[in-house]
Amino acid sequence: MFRTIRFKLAAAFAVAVLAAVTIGLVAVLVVRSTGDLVIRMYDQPLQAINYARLAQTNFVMLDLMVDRALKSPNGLPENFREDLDINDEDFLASLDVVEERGLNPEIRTYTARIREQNADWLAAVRQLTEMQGTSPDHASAMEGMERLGAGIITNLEIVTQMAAEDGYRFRLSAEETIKAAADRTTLLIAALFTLVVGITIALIRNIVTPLNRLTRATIQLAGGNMDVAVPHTSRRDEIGSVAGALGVFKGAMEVVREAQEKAEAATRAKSEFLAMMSHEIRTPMNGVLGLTRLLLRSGLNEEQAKLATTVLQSGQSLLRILNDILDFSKLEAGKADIETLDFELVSLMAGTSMLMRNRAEEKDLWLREEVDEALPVYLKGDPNRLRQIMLNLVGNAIKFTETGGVTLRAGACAQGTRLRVEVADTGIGISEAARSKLFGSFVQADSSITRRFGGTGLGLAICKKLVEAMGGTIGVDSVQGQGSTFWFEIPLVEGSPITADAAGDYDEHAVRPLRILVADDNAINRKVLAGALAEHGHMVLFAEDGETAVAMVRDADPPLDLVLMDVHMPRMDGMTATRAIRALPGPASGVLIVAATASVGGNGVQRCLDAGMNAYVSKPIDPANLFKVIHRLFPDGEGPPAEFDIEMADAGATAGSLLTGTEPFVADMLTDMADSMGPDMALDLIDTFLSILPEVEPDLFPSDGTPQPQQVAEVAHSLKSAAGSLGLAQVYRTAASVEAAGQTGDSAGLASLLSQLRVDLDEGVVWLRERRAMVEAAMAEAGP
Amino acid sequence: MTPLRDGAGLRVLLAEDNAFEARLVQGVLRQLGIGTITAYRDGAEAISAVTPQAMPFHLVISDWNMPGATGLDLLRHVRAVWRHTPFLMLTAHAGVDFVTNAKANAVDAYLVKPFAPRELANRVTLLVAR
Repeated sequence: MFRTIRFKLAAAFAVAVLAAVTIGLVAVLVVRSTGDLVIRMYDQPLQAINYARLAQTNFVMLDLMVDRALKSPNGLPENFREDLDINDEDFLASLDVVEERGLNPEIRTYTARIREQNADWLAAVRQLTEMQGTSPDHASAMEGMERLGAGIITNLEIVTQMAAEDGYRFRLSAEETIKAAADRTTLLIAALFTLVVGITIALIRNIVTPLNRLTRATIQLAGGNMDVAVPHTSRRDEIGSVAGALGVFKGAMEVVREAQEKAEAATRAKSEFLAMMSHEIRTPMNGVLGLTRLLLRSGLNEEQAKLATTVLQSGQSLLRILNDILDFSKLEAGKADIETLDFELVSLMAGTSMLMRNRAEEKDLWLREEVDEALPVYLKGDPNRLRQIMLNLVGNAIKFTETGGVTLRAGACAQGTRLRVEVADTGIGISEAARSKLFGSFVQADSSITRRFGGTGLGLAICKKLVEAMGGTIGVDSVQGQGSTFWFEIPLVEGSPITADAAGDYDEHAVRPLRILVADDNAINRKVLAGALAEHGHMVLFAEDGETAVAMVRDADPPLDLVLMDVHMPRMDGMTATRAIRALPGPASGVLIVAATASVGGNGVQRCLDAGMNAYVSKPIDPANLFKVIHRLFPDGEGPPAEFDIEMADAGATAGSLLTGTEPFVADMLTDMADSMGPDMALDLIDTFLSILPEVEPDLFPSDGTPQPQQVAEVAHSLKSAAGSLGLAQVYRTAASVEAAGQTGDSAGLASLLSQLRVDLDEGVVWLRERRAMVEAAMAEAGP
Repeated sequence: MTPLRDGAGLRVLLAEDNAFEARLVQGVLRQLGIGTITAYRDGAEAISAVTPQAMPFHLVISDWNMPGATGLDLLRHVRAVWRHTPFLMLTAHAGVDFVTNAKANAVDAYLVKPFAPRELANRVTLLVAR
């Protein structure tokens, strides 16, 4: 109870009242004591002095009267005796006052003595009045009386002196009293002030400061800072209660946040898993499709060809589904890459319907497009994504329409600020209940539709995500049995005419041949870049991860001119690799580095530049853009003179062209071999190659599925040269990657590369056998 | 591919562990009409064949990576025994350090695998003509 704020405030108030009352009382006391003092100051000492003087005067007058009367030649005056008594009484009355008012007790001793002397003196005077002037005793009596009178006067003088001294002493004591009263009052007020200040400080420390702390904690908590510790939870007053409530609030927030994080992590994990799985399935699927195509070309009979065609078609539809899932999980993860480009709406729509026309005609449906002429010719937006949406909607419309046709329509709405695209069909229509679920994931209007028409049910969900990413809305109007109209609206921004500038003018000032390192873990990217760069006369080296890239930059002699650095790579990412390169000793650290990154938005580019990169190109890499960047980095086409080692370049010419090429097989190499060494030698070499395959395959593709990286590297090393000599360019490139991965011990990379090598090798063997048959046939022809 | 004029009298030492490459090189050498080809599939064996007492070869062709000893070991040994015998290095390494290293040890020519038969023939022709 004593710790509550109510009590503290009440106590503080009580103390304040007490202080006020005390100050009032002190004031009253001071006023009263000062009044007393004034009265006493006026009365006592002054009266004593005055009456002492009066008594003195009285007696001097009395003495003079007696002296005159006694020495008068006419004898005593008539009323002498009465006058004597009256005057003496006056004198004694004055003396009484002196006695009463005198402060010094000595005064009373002297007045008593004066009274005795006065009585004697009076007696002497009376005796003298009875005596004749001629009496012999007269003179001595006279003398005795005068002596008494003088003694009285002397004593009166002393009394007067003492009364005066009393007055002075009184003044001193009054001064002391006043000073003491003033001191006491000051002391009291100071004590009260200290008390009040102390109470105020205590209240501030005890109430105001904790309240401020709590307020701050609340604001920080509300701002999402969960690291704040809630203060004062152990207090047992109102602040303690508030702090306790805040603690509960914080706990609840933590629970909510944790749950939210878990949910987000789960969603992320799901999307990543989907994307990864789709990706992992896609790679072998491409192998299946490629081999099936080869199989179809290998001279199958009709039945076999039909079966293989079915495999191909099933594989293709599986691949489409995988692409859908990949696309959707990317969109769900918020990774929609929406570009802003100028495009021509009419040609976009014409292109879309041209792609779908075949399918419509197969089902005997019409397909037409209508474009509102009020629309601008050129718009700004992402034509590829728009085409994707339109293809999806038109494809659906064709799929679910049996008779009639489909109309693709574009117009402006909302006073020309939005573009509205409609796809209207004459199909089965969609019930209202189904319409509401239509744009969710994995949903079709009716689960029986999945069985009848197939598909993942992701198409519309993807469209919805894309349209929303463009800042638009998507919807459907439908009457069951009378067809549906799917529509979407996106902001309409007028574009400018597309110029032929897109291809770039990098050829105008040719850049000198550069030594370029392409650091990218993706084989396809490497291939594409190698092709484009080699076409412009550049020498290309490869690294599949950051560590290799750093080592190659360090060891390159002459130094490299340029590194094209993928930001995301296994083992060491591009940022870390760039920093490592910049930290290298010597001129190698100065190599120009261009980032290849998919995340050009946000601060992705800034982070690249911060890491020490000189420029960036966005992924997927548009070669035209890359050359623009290269041209910018090497503006005069000169730079340091190229120490191009002719002998070296010549020595590796074949290897270089294989490495930088993109075609899977180089038939010219076999032809050349047959020409220069004779066809039988060529056949012999092909057979040699085919015979060493069974020896190396167990090392490359062990039955237990765990290849030994070092051994794989060695085997791949010998395999790649042999394959390259025979024109198996793709096997050569993949084997080179396998060798590199094996040397660095990158088991994860090795697994996917080996499965790729398996596919390449199978295709290569098929091709080699074909070529062998051709050489044999040529020999047989030439032979006879 | 034209056979060398005095090919039959030429002796070539070939050190190559890879069966395919060995066959390819031998095929080219035969096309050139080389009389004697002494082939080793192990670097150490090739080194042991190079002695001051033996009759010098007209050309040494060696792979870089071999069991026993590397092509570089062989090159150093050859340079110590027969200063002027032409030496052709074959390698799948296009790396710069290879070139520097081989040059430092006075290699006469090198060829990056895979190579076209004609490229090898051109180099052999040039080397034995010296």
